[in-house]
Amino acid sequence: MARAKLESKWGYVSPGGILRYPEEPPFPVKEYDAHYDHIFEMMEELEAKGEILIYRITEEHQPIPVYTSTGRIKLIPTNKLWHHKSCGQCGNIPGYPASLFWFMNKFGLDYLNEPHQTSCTAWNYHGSGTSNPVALAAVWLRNMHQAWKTGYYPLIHCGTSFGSYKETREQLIMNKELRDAVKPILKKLGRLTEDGRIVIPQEIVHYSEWVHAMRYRIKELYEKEGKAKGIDVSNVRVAIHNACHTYKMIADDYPYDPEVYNGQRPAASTAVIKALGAQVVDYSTWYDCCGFGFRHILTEREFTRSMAIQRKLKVIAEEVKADVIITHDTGCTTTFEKNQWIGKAHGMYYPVAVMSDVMFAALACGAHPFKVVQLYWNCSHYEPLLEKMGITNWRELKKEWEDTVKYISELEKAGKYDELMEFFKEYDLYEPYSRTSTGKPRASATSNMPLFKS
Amino acid sequence: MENLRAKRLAIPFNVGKSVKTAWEVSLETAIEMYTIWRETGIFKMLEKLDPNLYNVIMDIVEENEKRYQELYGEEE
Repeated sequence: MARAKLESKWGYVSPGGILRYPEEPPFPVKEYDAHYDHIFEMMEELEAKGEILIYRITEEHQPIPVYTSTGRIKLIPTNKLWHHKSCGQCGNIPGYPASLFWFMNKFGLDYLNEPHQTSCTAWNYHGSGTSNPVALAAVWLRNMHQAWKTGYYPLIHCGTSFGSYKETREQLIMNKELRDAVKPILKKLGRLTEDGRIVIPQEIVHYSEWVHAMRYRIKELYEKEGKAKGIDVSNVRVAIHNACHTYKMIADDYPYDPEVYNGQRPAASTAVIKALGAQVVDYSTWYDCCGFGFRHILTEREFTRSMAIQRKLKVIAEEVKADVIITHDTGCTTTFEKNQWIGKAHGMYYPVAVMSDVMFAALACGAHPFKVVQLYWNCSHYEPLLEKMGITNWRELKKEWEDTVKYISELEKAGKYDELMEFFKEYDLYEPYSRTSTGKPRASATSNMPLFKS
Repeated sequence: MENLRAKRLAIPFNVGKSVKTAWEVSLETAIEMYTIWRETGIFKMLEKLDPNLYNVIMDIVEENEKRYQELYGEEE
């Protein structure tokens, strides 16, 4: 579909079915020749030539269609998902993935919390340049092959992983040289199909796109269970911050919707907050980066601090007096949280709760603020937000969690590991489950040991 | 932080109960990552950039590779 004219794009479906446009534009669309459409057509060509296998989204994944900025239909799989976790979330904000698993449990969805997953290594790459396109491509394809082997479709938790993988996909599809460089490495790892093809997913999907696609079910859960607990978000003023790596990197490939500024601003996160009935408040620096930047947070931290405090926190506090900043990326969340304390040290204190869209949604739907949403690890002032949401018993809930921590600690100190494992069977959201690169269940080196002993 | 270990154990999913890494990664996966870094020249890059860090990392890599061989060497 080279140089497609306006009249030929709408209603277009590519021969392989992975590039689709609706019959009519869902909202005003400026660019009619989307560069990124060519990637999907090339993917189909490469599959036909036997170079790649497109890991397709099927009915089993219960896909929900959303639109991208060019009006393209992007399928978001909602079931049978392979969780590609974020280093920063699991390390620093564990309530972030926990809230996502909680929702999947609530909706009865099948998923795999994969231990055989590597980091995307993009933090490393953006922060220090200690990587290269071949390494990034090999890591991506290795993880996608693992997902494909298990039969679960990859869902990317981190905005940086998502952006990096989208970039890597474009480089890989458009450069035979890169494909030729990465294939021998994957062959060595046993990460090609039996007939020697590399596995590339039909879509690269971020968890915020899943939340966006599921927003009406999340709203139903809020109406049914959140409100029954006295939770009410209608008075909560929410400032949205979209991560650069989700919507600015490969900008054609992220959800836009008629509900959100008639498709003129990214929809993910904003739409779910609107669906819950909270007040989405706009501010003049909406499109600004949080300032994290990977490289300069290490080497020119004052740039990050200035950006976060002056361009975002101050503006949000003074212009719109938001109760919470909603993010959908690890780096943005930690940048906004930590810089409130840095600002305080310099007489520039703008306190506001910060959390991800899925954590806020989980709270609204009645998830335990500490056992599930794990707010303990957040360092912004979330208590006023909880009060405003109607979660006025947060002190009792925190005590409940602290007693649980004490119980866990006592069991471990007493060496009562069997009892502890039994406790986790009830307490945890997810049982260990492991498939290896062969696709057959096999005990990994740590699977027979309680993980806290390894 | 007081009682960090117990607080990490109170994270409600298995692979998150770690005080060493963001999540518990299987040894097999770690070995795959080392192979990627070796084959793509990342280790060589690191050796030139920061020899001390390189030495520290290679100690961990070699220890894990040895452990992997002991556990799975016969199967392969």
